Amino acid sequence: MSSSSTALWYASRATGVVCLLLFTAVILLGLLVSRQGKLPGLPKFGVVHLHRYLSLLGIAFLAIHVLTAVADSYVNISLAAAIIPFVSKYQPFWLGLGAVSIDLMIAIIVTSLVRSRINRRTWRLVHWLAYACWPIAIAHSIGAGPDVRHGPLLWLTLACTATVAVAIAVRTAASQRTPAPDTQIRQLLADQSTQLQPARGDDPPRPSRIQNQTEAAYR
Amino acid sequence: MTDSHRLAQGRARVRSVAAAATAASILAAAGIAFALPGVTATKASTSTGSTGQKSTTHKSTTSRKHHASSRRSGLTSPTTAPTSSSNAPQVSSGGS
Repeated sequence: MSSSSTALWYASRATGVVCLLLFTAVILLGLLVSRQGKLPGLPKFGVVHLHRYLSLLGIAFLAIHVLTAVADSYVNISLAAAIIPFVSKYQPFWLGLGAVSIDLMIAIIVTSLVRSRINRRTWRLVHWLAYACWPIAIAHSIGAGPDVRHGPLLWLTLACTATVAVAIAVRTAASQRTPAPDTQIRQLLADQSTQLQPARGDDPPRPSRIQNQTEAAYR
Repeated sequence: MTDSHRLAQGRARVRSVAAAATAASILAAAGIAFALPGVTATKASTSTGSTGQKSTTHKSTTSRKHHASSRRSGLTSPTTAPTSSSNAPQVSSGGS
């Protein structure tokens, strides 16, 4: 009983660390997607696919992280406490932060899965929650996991935090210099549509190559 | 090379990167799970070797974990191990 509980505890810790790495990669890829960037050796759509795939992989590890913590008999953490913030009897604040992070992540994933059925603006607004979700998850890991406060795991957490901070700073600086590529495309489309207003009785203009590309990118 | 060939090649590359990421994640999880007892045991031994202030900070939440990790890495003698596990029910707030 004791050894299985210990194994569950270590499994929960290990999957938590992997979640940190995966979600850091997801944030970095998301920032790259927003600038329509490319990864060396991969096609452009590869970045989007990888961003989606790693986020789903992260969710799978997150599920194992939560389930092993709930199954560990040493501390009493209910499954509800993993979703409802600040109701846990064990470390209510730090586990509550984890629950908040999970809730935000669920919102991001669900809106991404039904993206074709919802307003793009709504999806984007919800997706911005990722910027809040990540630091809350980091705070949860530092507060709830004492081994993250020392040694190699502390360095790993600091490295992930520094990488994401630098990437966000670079993205913000780049977006201030030049608008995002999708904004440029939308501007081009707006200009084109004003120029191509059909005269009465004429056939409507055929979709241009840039329109097709935009639609394909959003699909 | 046609566009469809290039697309298929790109998809294959993305798939292989995704598979590599999955394998790396699983290996990392297993590696960390096996390395964690050592990390925690080293921390426990250094904290008890100093003033002991650090160990009392963690005692309230993870004392049993430190004992368990020390047992695993062989830092604690077998005679002291049952004492730590016999204390466990007093600390535990009950099973889930």
